[in-house]
Amino acid sequence: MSAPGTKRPSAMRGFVRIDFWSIIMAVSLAVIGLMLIWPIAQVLILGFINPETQSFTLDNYLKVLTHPYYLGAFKNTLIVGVGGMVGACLLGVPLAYCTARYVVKGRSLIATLAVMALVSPPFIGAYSWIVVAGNNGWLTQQMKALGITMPTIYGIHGIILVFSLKFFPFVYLMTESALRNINRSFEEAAENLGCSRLERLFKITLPLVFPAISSGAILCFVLSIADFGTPSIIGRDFRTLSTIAYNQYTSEMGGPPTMAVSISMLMIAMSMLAVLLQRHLMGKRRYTGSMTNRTAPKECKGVFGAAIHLLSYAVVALATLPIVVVIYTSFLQTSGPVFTGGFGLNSYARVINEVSDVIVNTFRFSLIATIAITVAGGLISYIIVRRETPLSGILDTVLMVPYVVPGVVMAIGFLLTFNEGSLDLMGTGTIIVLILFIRRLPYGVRATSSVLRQIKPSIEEAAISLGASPAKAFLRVTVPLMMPGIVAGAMMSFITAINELSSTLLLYTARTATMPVRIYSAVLDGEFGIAAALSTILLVSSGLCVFVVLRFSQSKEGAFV
Amino acid sequence: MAQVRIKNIKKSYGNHVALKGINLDIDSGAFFTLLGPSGCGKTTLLRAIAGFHQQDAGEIFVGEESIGHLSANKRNVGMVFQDYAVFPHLSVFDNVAFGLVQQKVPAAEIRQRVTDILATVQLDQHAERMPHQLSGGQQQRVGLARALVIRPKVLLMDEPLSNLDAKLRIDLRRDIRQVQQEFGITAIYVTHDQEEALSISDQVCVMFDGVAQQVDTPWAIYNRPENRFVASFVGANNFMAVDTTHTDSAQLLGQKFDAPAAIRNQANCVAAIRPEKVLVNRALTGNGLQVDGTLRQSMFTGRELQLLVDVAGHGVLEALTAPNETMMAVKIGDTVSVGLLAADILYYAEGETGKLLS
Repeated sequence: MSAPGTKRPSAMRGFVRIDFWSIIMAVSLAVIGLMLIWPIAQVLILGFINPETQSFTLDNYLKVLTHPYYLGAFKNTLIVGVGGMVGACLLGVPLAYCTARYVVKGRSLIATLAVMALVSPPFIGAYSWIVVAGNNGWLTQQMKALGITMPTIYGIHGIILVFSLKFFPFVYLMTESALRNINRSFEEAAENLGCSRLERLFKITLPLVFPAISSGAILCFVLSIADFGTPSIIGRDFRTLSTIAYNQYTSEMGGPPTMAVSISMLMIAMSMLAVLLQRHLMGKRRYTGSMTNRTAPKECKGVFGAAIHLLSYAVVALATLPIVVVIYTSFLQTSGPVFTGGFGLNSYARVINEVSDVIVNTFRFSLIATIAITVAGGLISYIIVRRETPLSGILDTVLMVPYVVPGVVMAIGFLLTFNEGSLDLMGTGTIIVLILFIRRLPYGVRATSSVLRQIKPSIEEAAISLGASPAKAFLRVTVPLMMPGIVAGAMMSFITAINELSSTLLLYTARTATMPVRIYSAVLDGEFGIAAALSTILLVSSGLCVFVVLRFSQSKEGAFV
Repeated sequence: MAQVRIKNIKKSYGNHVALKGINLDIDSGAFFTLLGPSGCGKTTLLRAIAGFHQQDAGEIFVGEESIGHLSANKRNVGMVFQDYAVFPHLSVFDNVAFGLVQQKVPAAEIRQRVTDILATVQLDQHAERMPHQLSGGQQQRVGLARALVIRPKVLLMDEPLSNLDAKLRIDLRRDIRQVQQEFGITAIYVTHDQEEALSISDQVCVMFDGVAQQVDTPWAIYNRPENRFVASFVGANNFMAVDTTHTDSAQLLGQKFDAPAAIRNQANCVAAIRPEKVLVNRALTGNGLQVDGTLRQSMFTGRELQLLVDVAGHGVLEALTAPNETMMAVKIGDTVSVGLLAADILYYAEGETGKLLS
């Protein structure tokens, strides 16, 4: 009965085990605290301080909530947010229904085009629509020749149009996959109980996919109110919170950016409220899909079939129009800012001669940020999925924050945090890399954690019971299985990093300008040739990443939402 | 191979006590099964032995070595998982070789040992296949081979057959038992399927509510359940209230009968009889009691005939008989006689885990 006395069994060991993963946890919390919580806390606190007396005050926030200038921007933001969201649903839901329920030829082409629209930077949409339907736009000219005066594209209509066409793919992709996953028996049961086709759609089908529609819709809302490039390019005098926050910040230069941060908090509050509202509406509505008993898409002939195809292709054609316009424009011959007619490569020649540094900057910053996101995302998602502790729960929740913090706000937070002493990163490439990293980290974590959730824990336990240490089991078994998700996540991070504008616009200097920043200033200066050539480079890079994702990710288009 | 001793293992999750001090002695080379309903603690115990859970208190010995404090990868216990856990990115061969590579076994020896074990589990033709090309049963054979090839001191199996369909389950059950006996390895097996437990095991431990209710041979578990939970969980049983209020003799199903000494002074107790011991329309061949009832349901399953007989005022009894045409001819609602032999009746104290009274 005597056990060898050398090893003292201890039942208590194992609770406070300082292992590899505890260290990762500590580092993650520290990094997120410094780069996410602290900057946002600075923004929040600064709003409570009177810039003259340095004392506590509620005046700044009260001013934002009462002054007509701010209230007007608030109202405008709400309008474009709701407008973009509703527009996206009106395009996305019918398209999803068509491609999920009917045989649409070239369905994967439609999905790919929708993804391309999604990954192209939003300001490309704004500027292309100006090229098409602006004061001197191609369509405007054609119509004028026919004696028809086009309604102006500038202002609220333009913004909502661009947002709808830009963000509808979220609604489309989420709804489509939900529609495909509905267990066929639900709809058959409804029909069996006396529902007509149309009743069935409204009583069974749409309620079942409502969680998907609403998550897509809220995403559109949050992105619409956070977007800076579109309202600033196409909005003219129509100001939203993100444009006035930017303007306030740049005009408050020197003094503390009190009003900019107060506006920022209002934007965060709006996003958070929207997300919470959606969660509340959803409550416990979680419908599990069916893997096998799915509805097969129906073959449609004749007029109805043609209408289905026409609708589907019209939506994605409109959405990808900006891409076509940008690429087309980039090959037009220019002399300075003026298009001289005919085709030529001199926009590209100018890009290479004049702004090659911004191309190098963009790829360098984005690549470093992507590598950091991929490594950190993989490790953090492991902690969240596999090491369920109160701390990992906190980590999971805190990682929601960047979803609701607009880029402009995050940039202001960074400017308040990394401006002095050992944290002084002003004007460096590092601060750009860091903001790309922190803003996109949650997306990286989500991409890998969704793959990780599909890997059964027993797989790793099997490796451990066969003698592999936990770290080795992770590297030899879990990482290879996570690879498709890691690759897709990395590509997505890279796409969003190279296209980032709203945060980098406040942080860049002449040495650290990126392509989106340069495109933005080129558009404002009327240098459409350079803007188009740079945009084309961004589009082609994004397109290549999309190709890689579609090639390697099991969830295909689903990887983008 | 090795004797396994579990000493007073305790484990709680928050307020829920999963294991309330388990003590087990498992003989070397025995096939030992933990049987119980979900939530009884059987999987928690198995995972504590594997090292995936740290127990709150208690010790685990394999042979003379205490392993309770070792991390899972140092315990040298083989584990077979309910969901197979075959590495989807590795071939059958590489899956089975995984543990040997960990142990830095020379390549030539790995090849030999993997080939041998694959032959044992009848997968020698499939060594280069990927897991998704295999059926569930084949995947579980890979799981078994992978656990055995490292020559563990103990083989742990967590409901390895529950994801398979009925026919395959029986085939693989036979193979698992055969391989275990061939290797002479100590096996600890978790299942909620009582037939599986009885058929495969040398010893069965019935668990409920974090407590080992009875540890015994399959024969004893079935024929002499030590408490009421074991009697009801393993196999079917008819429980009947015993009336001991009459001073001269007890009553069962409204009949006076010679109650055994053990229950005479027991205020409340129940009698239990297996359905196959309930005699319908048959003469009693020994000491017992007989009463009339009404046939409520008759179900012919091929191998046997299940009857439900309502004994007015005393509930419905289930009876299981060999099918015969006479019995098949009895109609629902007809009166039948129900006979119970005293020797077939067991008595239990009141309560969910009331003790056997004898």
